[in-house]
Amino acid sequence: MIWMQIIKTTLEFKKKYLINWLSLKFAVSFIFLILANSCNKSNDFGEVNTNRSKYMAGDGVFIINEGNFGQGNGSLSFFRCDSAEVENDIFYDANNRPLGDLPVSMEIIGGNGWIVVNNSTKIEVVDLKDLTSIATIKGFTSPRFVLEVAENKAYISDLYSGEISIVDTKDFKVTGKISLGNSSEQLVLVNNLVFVAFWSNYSFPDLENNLLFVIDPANDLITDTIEVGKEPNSMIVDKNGKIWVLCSGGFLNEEVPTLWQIDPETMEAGASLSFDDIESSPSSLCMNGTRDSLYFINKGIFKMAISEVSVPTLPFIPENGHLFYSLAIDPKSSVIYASDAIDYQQNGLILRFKPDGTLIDSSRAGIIPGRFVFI
Amino acid sequence: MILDTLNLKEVEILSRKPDKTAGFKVVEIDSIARSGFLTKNLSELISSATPIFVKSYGQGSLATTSFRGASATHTQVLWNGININSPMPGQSDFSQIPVYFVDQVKLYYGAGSVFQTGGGLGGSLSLENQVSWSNLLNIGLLQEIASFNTYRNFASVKTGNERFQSSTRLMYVSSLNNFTYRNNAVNRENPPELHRKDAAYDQKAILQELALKTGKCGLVTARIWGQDNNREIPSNIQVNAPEGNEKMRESFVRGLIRFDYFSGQSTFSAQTGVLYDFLNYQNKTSYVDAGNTVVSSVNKVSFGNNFSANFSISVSIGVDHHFVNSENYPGRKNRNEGSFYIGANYNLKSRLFLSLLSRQELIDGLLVPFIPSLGIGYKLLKNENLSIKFNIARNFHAPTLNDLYWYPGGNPDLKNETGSTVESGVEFKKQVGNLILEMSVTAFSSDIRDWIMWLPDSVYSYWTPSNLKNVISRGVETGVKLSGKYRKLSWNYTFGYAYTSAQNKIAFSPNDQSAGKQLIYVPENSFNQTLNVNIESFKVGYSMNFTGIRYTTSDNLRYMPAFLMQDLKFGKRIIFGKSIFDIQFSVYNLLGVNYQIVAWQPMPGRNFSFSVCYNFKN
Repeated sequence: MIWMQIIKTTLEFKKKYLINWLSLKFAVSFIFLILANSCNKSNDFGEVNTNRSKYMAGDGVFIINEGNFGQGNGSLSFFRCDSAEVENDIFYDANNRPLGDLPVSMEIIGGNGWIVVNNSTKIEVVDLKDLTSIATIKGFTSPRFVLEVAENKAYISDLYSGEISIVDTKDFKVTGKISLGNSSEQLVLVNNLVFVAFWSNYSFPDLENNLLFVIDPANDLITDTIEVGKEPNSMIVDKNGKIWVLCSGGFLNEEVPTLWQIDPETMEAGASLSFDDIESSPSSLCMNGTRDSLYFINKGIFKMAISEVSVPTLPFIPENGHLFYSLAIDPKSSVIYASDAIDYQQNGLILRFKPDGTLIDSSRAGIIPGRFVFI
Repeated sequence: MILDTLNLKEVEILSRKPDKTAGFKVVEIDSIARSGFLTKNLSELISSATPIFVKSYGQGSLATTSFRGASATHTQVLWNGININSPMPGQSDFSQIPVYFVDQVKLYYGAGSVFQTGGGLGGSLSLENQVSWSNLLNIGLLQEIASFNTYRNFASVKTGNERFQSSTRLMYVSSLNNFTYRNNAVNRENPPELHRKDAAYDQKAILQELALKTGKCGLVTARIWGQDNNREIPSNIQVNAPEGNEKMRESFVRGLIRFDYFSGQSTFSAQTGVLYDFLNYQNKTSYVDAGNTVVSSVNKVSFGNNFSANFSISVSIGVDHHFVNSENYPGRKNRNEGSFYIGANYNLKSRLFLSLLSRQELIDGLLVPFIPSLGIGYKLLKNENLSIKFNIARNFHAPTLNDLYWYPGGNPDLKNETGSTVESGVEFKKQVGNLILEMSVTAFSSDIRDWIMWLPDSVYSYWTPSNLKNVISRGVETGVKLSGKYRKLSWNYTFGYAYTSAQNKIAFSPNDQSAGKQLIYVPENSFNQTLNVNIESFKVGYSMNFTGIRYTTSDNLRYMPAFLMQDLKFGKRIIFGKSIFDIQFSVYNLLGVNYQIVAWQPMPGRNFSFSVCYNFKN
């Protein structure tokens, strides 16, 4: 029917119509020109996030959304415990600029939030009252984690540089480097010693990435190395002061994943617990409030008492259609927080479970929610 | 050559042969648009002259196209009939194809691509070189100085006689590309003006063609195209990378020999080619220095016969081999491809045109399902150039070698992506005195199943591809071309608008919000218009290009704002005997609009170029 109308119209086609039509076209073009001119003054030419809100300090959990590497879509979210709602992209709202490319971790040091932004090679220090930036610390190659190791002193691990950076937490300056000769990932402080995981050998292919380095923060010297499994990706300290280390078994699944218990007094790694499936990549080792049970992701969410002698085979919380990306437990309430990155291109899901594993609620944070920080 | 005279109208040969692509949408980028972009690359030509969206990371940086909402790997690019998409990523970088080296650019939308190749679920782009038998000695020199320390130099020598022709083209382009931009990653409301760092590039290239008529009916053509590209890869503006952090070098040689034989109503052609492609990527921070080498052998034999003025058949058989040596693959990999094409065209009473194009492909010994496509054209009125078109097709796209073999993550169990498409349109052409009007409206709907997508298996695990999505893409494309002459003034105007709704239909987990949402970086709306006016030896060209919002996340909660680009060109031709000088001054991004095509990748503001083209023709 539309075609018949077009035929009719075109039959009536005559020279004068053509000229009229032509002048109309020019008029339209001119309007567009003016339109474009008015558009030009606007500074809003960057990516628009329709899911941005304002941060209100209160009881809650910070969520670091990593975003995609190189796409600059990482962000900071805040889960409010009172309303169970998530405030998204709050750093942007507070500072009128994005947080940076690939924020990976956050610690609270001296009452401020220290956010490590990996691909932007910086740390953003924010005031927890309103999230305004206090300082931007630069001088890293590929920063991963930050840990306060002594008064006015923090260590920053690095994926590519082969060094640990030392930062003065008072004046926010890099004051020195500790050379490791390999990459570094998670950091824990036990008995005034810092345990550093050598997680990835991506840039150090000739080295075995199955070590923990022990550094004395008093003199910044390496005092010990402890051999564990390949790719130690997460560490946690239990109620007895023992360090638990979860190793994925390597990027290419070279060996079965293992779970280790380290005695920081003797620097001895006890017998490790092995996982059955060499293809699996367990991650996100964490602990409940009473520090007597371990939790980790291995497709589903698993739970085991620190006294157990083998890793569980059945999940505590099954995968159930989720692609769990990150896990954390509120030290006060033992409420379990897990994230699902879905397709890694949309706002990820935050799921909360009671300590017994029943689902409390779910909400949306930013793209690829990676770390939870409890205040 | 910059100033193509508009009064030089193509002589339309009233062919008695059936139209080989009747019922399908094939658009040629006109020579006026092409000549204005002679110093530029294909990415800039396509984005200015068509409403097709080019996803460009900036001048000299990666630029890929999305036809009708399909992915970059669904756009097949052919150079003189051979596919030049790299078999590794399965796509072409349009910023590395100089317009100077191409004489004709044709766009085959949707199922029209079956005419040339399989796998063009979005469409295909054909880049042709043409032999002109009238050259005795034709020397061309073209130099351009442009903003941001950009220098583009070209030379060509075309010589020969009625039986033999040689054409040599040379190019050397270099740019510091250190444009100023507003950095909205530092402050959104008051973005400071900064210089783009680490975005320099250079390209050196040569294209040699030889053509020889043998006997009365034979033609031998040989072509060799060599190019060496060096570029820095600038990081996004949220990243503070060390100086010269990422670099890429790509060198390729493409050689092709073809023999054509014409006899009465029959044509026969045989061609063989070798493609060599070397790519090196370096990243200082992560200590990456990786090299890939691809060597391809492409061979094709075609035969065509016009059985009558109303019926013709063409058949072709192709056999290609690709050998890949990549540090990113577990050892050497290769792929063998065979294809059999048969196309039949039938005219009924010069009003109804039918074409049946079908293709059978064989990849590594496995039969890809049969690709059929049917096109129907119908001329509605006897004395008016008004016709309707319709086509329906099924097409397949095999996983790329990266999809199959990337280490780690490559998935050898991937299925082919399957596309089904229906398209219909109206075309109208009319000449009234000196005015010529061409109009077309096309609507399409295509359904792509088993769309390949990369995802990590778990947190610290590598990414791996799987056949996850089902994309339904629907849209409308309109085009208007109008040209006229008044005394010493000649002008032409083009307009194009495209509406593309490309949505993922499958939620692969209960919480996936991407179902029913527009694909990322596929603008729903885009249009362009150009106006060129010639007055004697002067020329003024104006073009405008609008790109609507592009979503950047699959849940469509984030997007890049729309932008509008305008360019203005002035040209003057001076003739001294056998020498012709064409001088062109161009202003790009006329209003100095701040914009980014890809998030956090800045684009230059207002910029200029000045070129002088010298042509000697004997």
